[in-house]
Amino acid sequence: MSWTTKSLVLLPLGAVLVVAVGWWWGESPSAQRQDLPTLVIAEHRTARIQVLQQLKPALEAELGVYLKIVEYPAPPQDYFTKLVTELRAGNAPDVFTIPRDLQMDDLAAAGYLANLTDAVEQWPGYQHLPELVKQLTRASFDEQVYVVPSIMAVEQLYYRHDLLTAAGISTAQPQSWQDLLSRSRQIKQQLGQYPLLIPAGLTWGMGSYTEGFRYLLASFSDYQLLNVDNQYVLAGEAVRASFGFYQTLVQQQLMPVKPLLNPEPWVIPKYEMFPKGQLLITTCGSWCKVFDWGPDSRNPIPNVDQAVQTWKFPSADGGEPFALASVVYSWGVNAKSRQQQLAQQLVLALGEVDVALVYAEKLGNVPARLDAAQHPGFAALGSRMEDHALLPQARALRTTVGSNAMMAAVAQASEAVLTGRSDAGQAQQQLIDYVTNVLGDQQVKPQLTVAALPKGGKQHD
Amino acid sequence: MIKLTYESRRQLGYRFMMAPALLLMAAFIVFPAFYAFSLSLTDVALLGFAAQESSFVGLRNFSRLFGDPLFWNSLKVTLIFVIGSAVIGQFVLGFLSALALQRPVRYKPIFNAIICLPNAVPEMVVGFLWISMFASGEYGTLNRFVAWFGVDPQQWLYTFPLLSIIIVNTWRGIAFAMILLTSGLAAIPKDIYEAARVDGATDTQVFWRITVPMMMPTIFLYMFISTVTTFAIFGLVYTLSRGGPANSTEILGIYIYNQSFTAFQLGYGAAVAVVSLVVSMILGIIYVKALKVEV
Amino acid sequence: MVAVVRSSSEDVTVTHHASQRRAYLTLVLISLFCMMPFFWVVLAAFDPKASQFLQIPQGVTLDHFKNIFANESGMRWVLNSVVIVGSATILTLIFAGFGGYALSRTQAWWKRPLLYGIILVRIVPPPALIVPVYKVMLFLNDWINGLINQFTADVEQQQMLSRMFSFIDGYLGLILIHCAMQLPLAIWIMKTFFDAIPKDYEEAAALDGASQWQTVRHVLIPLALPGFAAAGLFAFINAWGDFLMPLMFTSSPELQTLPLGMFRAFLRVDAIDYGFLTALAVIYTLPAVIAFAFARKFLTQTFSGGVKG
Repeated sequence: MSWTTKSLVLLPLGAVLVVAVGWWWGESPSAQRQDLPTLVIAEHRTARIQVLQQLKPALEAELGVYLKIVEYPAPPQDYFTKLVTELRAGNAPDVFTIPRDLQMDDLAAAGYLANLTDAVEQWPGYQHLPELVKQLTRASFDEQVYVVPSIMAVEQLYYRHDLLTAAGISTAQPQSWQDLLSRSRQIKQQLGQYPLLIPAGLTWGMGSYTEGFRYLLASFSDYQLLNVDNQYVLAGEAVRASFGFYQTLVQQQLMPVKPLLNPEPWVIPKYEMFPKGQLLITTCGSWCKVFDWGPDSRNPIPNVDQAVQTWKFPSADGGEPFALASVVYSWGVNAKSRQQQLAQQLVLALGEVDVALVYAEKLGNVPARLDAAQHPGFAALGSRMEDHALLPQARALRTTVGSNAMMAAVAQASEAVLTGRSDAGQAQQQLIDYVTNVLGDQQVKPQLTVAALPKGGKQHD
Repeated sequence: MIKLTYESRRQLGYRFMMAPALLLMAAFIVFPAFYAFSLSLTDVALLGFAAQESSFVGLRNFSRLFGDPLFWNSLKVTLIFVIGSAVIGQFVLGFLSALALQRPVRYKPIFNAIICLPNAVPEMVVGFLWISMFASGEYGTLNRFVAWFGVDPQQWLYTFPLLSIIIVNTWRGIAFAMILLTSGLAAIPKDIYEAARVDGATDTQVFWRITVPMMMPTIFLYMFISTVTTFAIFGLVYTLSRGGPANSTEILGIYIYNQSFTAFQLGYGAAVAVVSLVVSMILGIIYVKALKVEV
Repeated sequence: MVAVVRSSSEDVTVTHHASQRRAYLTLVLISLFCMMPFFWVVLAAFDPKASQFLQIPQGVTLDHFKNIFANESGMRWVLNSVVIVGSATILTLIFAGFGGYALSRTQAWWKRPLLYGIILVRIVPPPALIVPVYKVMLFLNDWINGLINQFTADVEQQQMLSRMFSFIDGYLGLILIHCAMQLPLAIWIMKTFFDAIPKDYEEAAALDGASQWQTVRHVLIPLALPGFAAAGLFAFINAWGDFLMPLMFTSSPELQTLPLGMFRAFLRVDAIDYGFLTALAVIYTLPAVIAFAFARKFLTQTFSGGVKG
């Protein structure tokens, strides 16, 4: 045999030898605590994993289990993709978090989530949940409970109190959209900077809905995104007016549009312009003073607790200004978990106030339960204690199956408004078409009002 | 009589020998390719009710597809990617190196090995290497390189995303073009060149009048192979940019993946896949017919 | 007259030198372009202070390589890759050996359609199969896990078996899908090599009283050895470098192979260990480069199949 042929045989043989040795070597130390039942938890993001590691010994002792924490990829989309594919294939962990409340219905409808209704309703913590949270933990299509909430994000308008005061501009709570717009115009005139950011556009993705469009829709006190038949209501005046609000911001140059058309559109306005005072008001959530502009963040604003303050979002129809609330990182149980009882006990334990407070403190959120306010650890939340107090009156829009498509459609339609390709009415039509196309006719409320639309502003085609 | 049964036993034997390979290819390639067509007519998904029970939706996915700006964007990006990297980049650099290696240069094996090296690197490592090359800030390798020419540091994957992936794929594919074109050059009879020289033809004339025409079949073969393989690229772009920023590098393969596994709409993903399948099958049939591949 | 002749002959050598210089310049520039990205990975793998940027190492260390073997995940990725790609390659060789031989020797009606079919199958872009293959794998996965659950009720055993035999997130599934993807090219190569072995050899052996197995062992396999080498090398290189299949069909950390393990480690933006990853990249790349060095001379022979290896 030639040298070539010899090495063709020898190289793989060598590799096999390495494998054999490595196998024996790699497998031996993995003898785990076999006396205890094992529960697998999926977690992602370093901060969340650290918290879970910290809580693990107490939880293990309490439940008499061994908790195996599996690290998932950190970017939210990668986490969710991996989770969903595993749930479908049947090899998902027993317990996992669902990053945002509007992802729950899709997971539940697919049959991935264990029904927790009985367990949660008998749970003493349940009565301490605000009404809104109780609603958001139930799936829209069967009113069953599928998750145990732990922490919440409270979302409002964040503004540069220091700069507005210095310029002598009123910092009083704007009561209506008109109020907010005229305040914005004043800022633009006096400071020469962009006054307001409400996220929109294709590249902001889901955030164009959750951090942008949702505020505008919720400004209509009688508007609900879903009707009684669980169809998306997209044909009404609220939707058109919300696109109209964007259109006004764009036309009057009250919002920095160019950065929103970039990839990673949040970087420039939120992390550069706002700290530098080139943007004065933005939508944001309870985490922002920690992660976006806090002392340990990459773009700290000096003395952030005083310099940046919050307004509730003004209403569009004479109602009260409001804060939005979302259930974030609620806990779910895999419907195919082989240890339903234990897994249920674990998620309920994770819903307790002391656990939620650790998460809330480390992640810049607030605990979902109202009785957290009586806990001695509550003071650690600092200014977020005020956010927590807003929970009972906060607003949220329930979503149903297909929220993904709805959000993608909002991103696309709002992009068209940003670039001036569409006016409010056309954007609304795009939204309806997209959602209908993806979800089918039966998921979208029949379009009765679109035909009689008033003309969408002064904008040309 | 005996011979006949022997022969038919042999024929049966061939079928048995063929069976395992056929079974695997049928299960994982051929059937899925046809299955894509039927899936594209449903709303099958990984989320929502359709994950449990999908239903037939007719051509809804396709009507959505043709009105979807992101799909058209993806087609455009794919086309630019294929033309930029396979048809132009790899071909030109590969041809140049093949021509240069025809000359009596020294260290031929070394040049040859260096040019072949990128081709052997796994896709994931390619992405990894080039993310370092393209790293932004003044310490990025490429940024330091262009700084010699007085160019400011760039965020390459952000400012020139499509160009960046074209450069990377060009880098990776020079070797293949070089090897194939070298074999084409070697097949041109030497005496034609000598005859031309005797007639006083210049280098340029020799190249355009002799080399290029004689190389045409090889060039066609190269164009076909590299178009088809570039069309099928996934990992390289996924590890570099995952189709971003803002869909600017979302070639068809990535678009299919994103629709299927980040939007979880398998039916729609299948509809895009059908387009991709049809395009590549048309290419394939043209090739089989035009070149009358010897079998 | 003399002057004219001299100048023209000088002219020839001048252009000769010029074009020679051009050839060197072309080769040097293209080689530099090809080498550039490697400097970083090679230097960083031995640099105690490895970073994302190309820099001159402050010292030389082998710690990163030692880490791979000390660090459980690094070693596991390497082993998983070797086991999965190795098995897939062997399986491909067996099936392609039989298939290629049959295709070469038969004159049956299915020969021609099958050969054209294989060319077309080679052209199917794998990303187009993402959805349907995923559905097929899901179906097989549900089926095999049903079998496993019937076979044993013990949870530990079930998990162990399903790691071995699952089609999604199991060894078997990855091995088979890699094998299927590499088969068309491998069959094509084998068929070409068997075509070159005259049928007379087998007949002569048979006349000499050799059994069928003996014919195969002593005549066919030795003669087709270069074919097996070529087919095996290409199958190995392609499966080793593949990113899409692991991305779709592995998820648990225990099953992670090199490409996906490295990719996910690279996604942990706040905690990337460049030394570890570059060392791993070197280890991951080496087998492919060695295999490619062997396979290079076969490369042109596979072109007639229409599609690159």
